[in-house]
Amino acid sequence: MTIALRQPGPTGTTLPVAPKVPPHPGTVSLARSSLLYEWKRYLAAVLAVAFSGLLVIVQVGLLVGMFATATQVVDRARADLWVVEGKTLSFDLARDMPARIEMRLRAHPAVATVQSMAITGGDWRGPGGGKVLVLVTGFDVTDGSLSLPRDFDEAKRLALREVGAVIVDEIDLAKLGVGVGDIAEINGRRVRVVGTTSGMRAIGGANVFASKATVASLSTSPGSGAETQSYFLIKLQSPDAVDAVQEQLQALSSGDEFKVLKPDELSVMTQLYWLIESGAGAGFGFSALLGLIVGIAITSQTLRGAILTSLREYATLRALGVPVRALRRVVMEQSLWVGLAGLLVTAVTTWVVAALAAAATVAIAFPWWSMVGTAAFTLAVALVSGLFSLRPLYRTEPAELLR
Amino acid sequence: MTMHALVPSPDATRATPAVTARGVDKSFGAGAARNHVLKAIDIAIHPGELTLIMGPSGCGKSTLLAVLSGLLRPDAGSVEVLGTALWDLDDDGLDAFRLAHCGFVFQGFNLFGALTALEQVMLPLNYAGVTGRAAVEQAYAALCDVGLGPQAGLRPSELSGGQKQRVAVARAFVKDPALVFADEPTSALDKENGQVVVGLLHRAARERGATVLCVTHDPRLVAHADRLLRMEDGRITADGPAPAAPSGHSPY
Repeated sequence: MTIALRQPGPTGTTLPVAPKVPPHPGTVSLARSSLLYEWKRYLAAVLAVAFSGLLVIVQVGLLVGMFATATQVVDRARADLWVVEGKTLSFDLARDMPARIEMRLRAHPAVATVQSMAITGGDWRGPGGGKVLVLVTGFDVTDGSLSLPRDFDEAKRLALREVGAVIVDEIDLAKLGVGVGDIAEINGRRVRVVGTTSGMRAIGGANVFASKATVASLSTSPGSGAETQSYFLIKLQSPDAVDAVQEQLQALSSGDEFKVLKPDELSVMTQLYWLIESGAGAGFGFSALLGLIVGIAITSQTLRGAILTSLREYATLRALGVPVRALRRVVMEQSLWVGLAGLLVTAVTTWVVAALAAAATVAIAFPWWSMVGTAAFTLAVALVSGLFSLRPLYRTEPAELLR
Repeated sequence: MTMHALVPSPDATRATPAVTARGVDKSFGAGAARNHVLKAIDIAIHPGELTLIMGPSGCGKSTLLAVLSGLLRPDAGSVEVLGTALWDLDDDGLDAFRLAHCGFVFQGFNLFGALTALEQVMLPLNYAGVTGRAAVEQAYAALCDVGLGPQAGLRPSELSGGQKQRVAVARAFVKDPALVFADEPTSALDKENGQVVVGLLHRAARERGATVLCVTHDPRLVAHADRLLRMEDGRITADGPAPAAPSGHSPY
């Protein structure tokens, strides 16, 4: 038995004639090796992190998707700037403002066009007699319309010019009890469905799209419509100057007479209003908190379990002089990788959910900020879990190995 | 305590001690449950020797090892290792000292399940600041030294108990430490593997001049030791050259 003497010479020095030294980068990543080798152990943590992330992004997606329908008219219009009454908090709850404001807006040299848009509530009565609360939007249907949605083609524009012609979202056809070509009533006046659009469904009730003239004909308080307007839409000579012109136009407002907003500002304002006002935001916050707690609980327990099973090995490294902070770095690196792996799972499952939602025409949206936010949230779950799991490491007492 | 612990052998050619302990005292617990484990121990351990500490369970031998190796702070007394007053160091200083000078072999092999034999040995090197090609070569050389070159790519689950302990020995030796501390290194091994491991410890002392201090109750090790300390009830009760210690060659 001379096995121990096969390679004479002190260890720690380079061999004179190096035998086939195995290929290795020369740096051991305890964190990554453990994760790969014992992936089954860490899978629970990865899935918990992914679950937390999915919970957040899908809920944000559904809320944003739902509330984005409330601003489709804004998002699809061609205006550079919107003017709404000064106390308006949400696009679909616009208050009326004096029509004479239009003249002051028009006087600005950078303004090319000012158009108005009307909105009114109404009682829809379908051929079957069912009653639905509807929001009727009155577009400008002239050739250079700023309010007409970009996806409304020329045929739709021409069809809407007829007073009493309306377009509804295809999703709402059943709710409204009509098909294209059918006659129905709004506020007791006859309207005819001349076409459908998509992705513009309402949160409650239904959206009905028509011309300003049609909206005026439906008005339940005749006479008041002439002096007031809900929205002014502005087209600028050059869209590059939008920030400066917005500021200058806003300065024309006496007090909170009106607000001048870019389309995305009006959208975000509306979506935030709904998020908070509807209570959905609070509900979302609660379930995000739940996801956070569940995610951190499972992930930290998994990481803690992994530390506990390797406690003697960690203690051996401590005995060999490896400082606690180096071991802490191993655990934190593990939690970072768990977070990244969880993020990947979140991304894939979110993609699947998005595909399913699209197939079922469920309004769901994943704006960039929701993705960045979810990524940060997911990594935070993993890293906080790592911090929570560190406790056994601090109790690593190498002297305990000498018992 | 008697002076003979400080001057344990008449051998005048001995180098200065690598480890010198004076009046080391350690108790666990408090009040009635207080357990006085080390009682004013004086001892000097010399480089180039395999020193064995033997004694019944609970005699304090493992605690002594922990105090001498910088793992457990004594209640009283001083320990000087390689000219450094060990327990004057703070925690960071102790870590740095152990990283630079100490190798450990434990009863359990304490190998990471996820790492190959090569990586187990490379890990302390990495933490000591050696990386890249140098780390691979040193780790591989240490593995070859314990006869496990061909097993460099295997994980603990693919190694026998004896091989695992040899990986642990390579891990302890790879930094070429001046001090090697072993706690029951053979008690989980069969006779043959036990012989191999103690042979490796002995060789570290002989060939590299390391100070090797080994706690055991395995009588098979006595034949390999240069010096045998017996402990009982927190005191060193006997000290002298190991009986029938072979000099210069291994019996296996």
